[in-house]
Parts: sequence; structure tokens; C-alpha cells
Amino acid sequence: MTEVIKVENLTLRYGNYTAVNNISFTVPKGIIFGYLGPNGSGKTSTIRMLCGIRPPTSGSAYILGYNIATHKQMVKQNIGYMSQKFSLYEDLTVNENLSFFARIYSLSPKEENCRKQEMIKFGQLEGREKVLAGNLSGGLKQRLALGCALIHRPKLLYLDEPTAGVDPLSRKVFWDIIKHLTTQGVTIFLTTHYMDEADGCDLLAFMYRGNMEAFGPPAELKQQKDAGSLEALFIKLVEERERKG
Amino acid sequence: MSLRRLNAIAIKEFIEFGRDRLSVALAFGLPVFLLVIIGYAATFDVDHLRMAVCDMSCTDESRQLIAFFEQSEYFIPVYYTGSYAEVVHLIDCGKARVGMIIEPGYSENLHSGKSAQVHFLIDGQDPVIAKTALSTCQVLAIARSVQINYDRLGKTISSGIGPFGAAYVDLRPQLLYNPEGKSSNLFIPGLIGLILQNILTMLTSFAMLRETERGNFEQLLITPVKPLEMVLGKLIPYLFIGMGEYLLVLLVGVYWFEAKMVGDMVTMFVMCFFFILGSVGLGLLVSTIAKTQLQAIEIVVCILLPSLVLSGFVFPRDAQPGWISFMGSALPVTYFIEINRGIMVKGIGYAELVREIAILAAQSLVIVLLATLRLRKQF
Ligand SMILES: Nc1ncnc2c1ncn2[C@@H]1O[C@H](COP(=O)(O)OP(=O)(O)OP(=O)(O)O)[C@@H](O)[C@H]1O
Ligand SMILES: [Mg+2]
Repeated sequence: MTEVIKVENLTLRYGNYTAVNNISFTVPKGIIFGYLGPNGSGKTSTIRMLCGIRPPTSGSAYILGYNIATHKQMVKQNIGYMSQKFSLYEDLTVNENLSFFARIYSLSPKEENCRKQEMIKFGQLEGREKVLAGNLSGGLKQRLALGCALIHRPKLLYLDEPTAGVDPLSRKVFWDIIKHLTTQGVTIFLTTHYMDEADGCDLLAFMYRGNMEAFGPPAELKQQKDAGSLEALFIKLVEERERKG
Repeated sequence: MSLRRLNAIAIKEFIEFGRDRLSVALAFGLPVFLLVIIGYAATFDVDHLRMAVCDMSCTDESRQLIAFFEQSEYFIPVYYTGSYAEVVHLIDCGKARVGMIIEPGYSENLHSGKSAQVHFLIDGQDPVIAKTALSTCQVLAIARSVQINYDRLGKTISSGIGPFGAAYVDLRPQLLYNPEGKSSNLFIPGLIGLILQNILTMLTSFAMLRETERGNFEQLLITPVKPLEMVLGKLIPYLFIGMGEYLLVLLVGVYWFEAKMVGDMVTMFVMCFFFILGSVGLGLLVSTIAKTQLQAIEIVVCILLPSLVLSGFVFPRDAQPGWISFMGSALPVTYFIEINRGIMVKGIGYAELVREIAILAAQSLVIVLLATLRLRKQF
């Protein structure tokens, strides 16, 4: 099975307000999928539904073949999630944070130790094992949060604005890491407001007011609309949409 | 100073205040509520004390004595039993505050102008109640003696015969438990309950809300963690912390303040377990209502103040009107205080307290269940 995410007519309403409006798409395995759109366009809302923590108002979605409505536990066991806030336990050390999430995902003690070593190496956190997470710099916090989200080897990783508030160098390190992850077959679902990051994705979706306005690889999208850059493309899309009303 | 700026700040403050419903409730609702309940609950005038009677004389005279006590409205006979031991038992389990035992020879002694013995047992656990009861019963006995002699005098004069000599009701009051009337015996057991309830509720709700505020909770929602695991994972550590805290305050109460501790430690720990479970559960429940740790403090204050008034900690519950006392029965701390006093001061155990312990356990389980259900909604 190559479809990691399959979404069919997914809609989410908060009261009368439609945050996500009847969207459908599929994402294949092992790529970086960029989910773009202005503030309030429904990105986080989509992620919450696809994580199984917010039931959709209508429509259905399958993660690795599991229905998000009926197989929540299977979905949760196979996904990783990193929020913009890097939700770590700030009063626990790097080591303790990793242990906690390893146990939450029921890793065996042997696996736990092995994965912790890997994550510390991978996040370039060597020598910081006993530092409180709250005392880490922004870039290191981000990499620890990533380590916690990956500890159970998820096949799909959601990153909600992972690089907001992180310096350019740390951003580059971070991107190298996630690119490397895709070579191991992990699929990345990422939201960002940085257009250079969007250019680095294999597949893009552009959300506007809960509607999916464009979907496809970056180069293809630019070509279709005859836009020089993604920025120009998105401005075009928004203007087109506004004209239609 | 600019009036315009001042105006801006003041108006902003009003708007913010008005939007925070909890603050509005705290500012206007709580004072009225407190005033009403304290107004009704706060009375040290103890009357209508429940009295257990053992009338071994069973004569007109003995019934008159009981009626005389009842008319005073200080003592209301609610139990009639056959033995001294049963009277003591009724006071032990808190069903009666005082007990009257009339000796078999009561009326014969009076007729022959001698003293007639009546035992009067008083629950000494609450020094305020005990002192009032003590002086009232003595006054009533003297008054009754005078009345009896007056009647006898009348009869003697009209008939011209009869034994002279003063007959009187020889009332022998006896304080059960706490005969020294030490108030620390009363306050320490209650204080322990209030301290535990509020600290544990606060600690637990803080622990939950800290996770919510920092986004840890959202992160946990994404993992396979189940609501029950979450609840138990929080309950268990705080149960241990609570038990440790209990032991600590108990030791300080007993060794520093020299509060009496005569009862059964096992019963005490069993009941304490349930109380701590309830307090920790209350913390979880508060955390599902409050959005921030600050709001949790506000809610805890809203629980603490009524607890002080309604639990019988300060004001004896005997003297409270029915609906106030009913509100008190909704609070686990009320039962905790009653049980804790019973064990520490009276030295009673499981047998007498089984009803209270069962209620306390039921309340705690309901609180934990409610918290779990509310938490489950967030998953
Ligand atoms: N729990 C909620 N109740 C009501 N409305 C909500 C709720 N959560 C989000 N919304 C609204 O739904 C819309 C979409 O929100 P969402 O968080 O999905 O946007 P987003 O694309 O992630 O934006 P951003 O780039 O700012 O993170 C917004 O208008 C938001 O105000
Ligand atoms: Mg968002």
C-alpha cells in the first residue's frame, strides 16, 4: 500500500463556522507533504482530525489504511506529532522526556534504551542528557521534541509549524534530519509559512478559508498557473478566489 | 496625569472583569452565598441536643422528669433504650449528644423524701456543646427538685401527714471523652481534614493544568494513552503524597498540640485513604473546569470557604438548620471530620463508623468517576 493518507470529503465545523470544507486528497509513502495556507485557513484543524483527536463533522479519512473514526488506537500508535509549542515536559531532563514518551508508546526497556541513544545522536543532543528541557535553546528544544515524536518509529509524522521561532542554522539542520527520515520510508506532513521550505516539499496543498485551492508538486503548480515563485502563485490563487467570491 | 489614559485603563479593567465569568461569580456570588450560609450556620447557642434515655424506673415521676427536660428545649429525647450500655453506644456513634439514665428506685426515693439518682452522660468532644449541656442539665435538675418539693409540701399540708425531709433529683453529670474540655482535641482532627482537602485539591489540579497550559496534554492526546490511564496515573502518586502529608500533620497535631489520639489507627488509615482519594479526585474535577492554574485557585477558594462553615469544623452541626446541615452532608470533609474526631477523641472504631466511612467512600468514588467522565470528553 503506498497511500499513507487518504482523505475523502472531509469537513470540520465549529458551530456554524466551517474550518475545513469538503477536502479530498491522497499522500503517498516516503515524501514530504507541505500543507500551506494563511493563518486560520484550517491547517491545524485538518491535522487534529487526521490524528484522531477531533472527529470530523463529515467525510472520512484513512491513515495507513486505518479509518480515523473507527481505529483511533491503531492510528495513534503509528503517527508522531510535533506542535509549534514543542510540548515538552520542561521540568524533566532530556533523558526523562525521551523515556516518558518511549513508555507511553509501550516500548520494551531494551528498545527504550536503544531508541533513546539513537534519538540523542540523531538530534545532536549528546552531552545534554541530564539538562532540563526547559533550559535548552529553541533549536535544541525543537530537536528534542522531534526525538520524542519519533521515539516509537512512527510511519507518519505531523509537524505543525516546526520551524517557527528557530534560527536559520537550526532550521537547516532540522530539514536535513527530516529529509533523511523520508529515505527510511517515513512520510512527513508539514505546515509552514516559509516559502523556501515549501519549495523543498515533494507535494503541496494550498488551503484558503477551509478550501483546498491547489494540490500537486511545487514545480507543476507553478507551471500550471504560470507563476515564477510559490509566493506569486499563492497570491494569484487568493485573488482568483476572491474574484469568484 | 491624563484622564483619557486613566479612563482607558479603568474601562479596560471593567471589560476584562466582566468577561471572566469566574471572577464575576467570585466577586458577587460568593459573598452573598457565604453571608447566607454563615448567617444560618454560625451559632454557638446549642439547643435541641439529641438525648438518649434509659428509664429504668418507668413511673409517672420518671416520665415527668423526661418531659421536664424536653420542655426546656435544650434536650430532645430521641431514643429510648433499656440499658446504660446502649445509651453510651448511641453517644459513641454520634446519634445522641447526651444520655439520661434514671435509676430503678427513682420514684420510691422521691416519695420517701430521699435523693433520687439520675446519671447524665454528655459527649465532651465539642467543648462548647459540653459546657452548655453541663450547666443546663444541672440547672434543670435543681429546678425539678424545687418543683417536686413544692408539690410535696402542698400535699403534706393538705393531708397533714407524710414524711418531711427534702427529696431531690440527684443528677450526676459525666463528661464522656475529652473530660478536660480541651479545644485542641476538637480542632486538630478537623483542621487536618481541611488542610488535606484544600492542599491536595490544589496540587492535583495544578499538576493537570500545568500540562494543559504547556501543551503537554495535547501531545498526550495524540499518543495511545487512554483516559483511565491518565486518571489513575495522576491519582496514584497523589494518593501516596496525600497519605504522607496526612501522617505528617497527624504527628504534629498529636505530639506538638497534644491532641488526643486514642482510637484505632487501621480504621483511621482506611477512612483517610478514601478521603484523600476524594480530595485528589476533586483536584482532577477542578482541572476539567478551570482553564488555568489561577482559575483553579479561585475554584478551590470557592470550595474552602463553605467547607469551613458547613463541615462542623467551627460551628457545631447540631445547631444548624436542616438545609444548612444538608449542604454540609454533601461535603466529604464533613464526614472526615466526624470520623476523625470519633477515632481520635472518642476512640471509637470501625463498628460505630461504618456508615460514615461508607458515605465518604461513596462520595469519593463519585467524584473520581465524574472527573474521569469529564476528562474523557477531552480525548
Ligand atoms: N476549538 C475551536 N472552536 C472554534 N473555532 C476554532 C477552534 N479551533 C480553531 N477554530 C477556528 O477555525 C479556523 C481554522 O483554525 P486552524 O487552527 O485550523 O487554522 P490554521 O490554518 O492552523 O492557522 P494558523 O496558521 O494560524 O495556525 C480559525 O478561524 C479558528 O479561529
Ligand atoms: Mg495552526
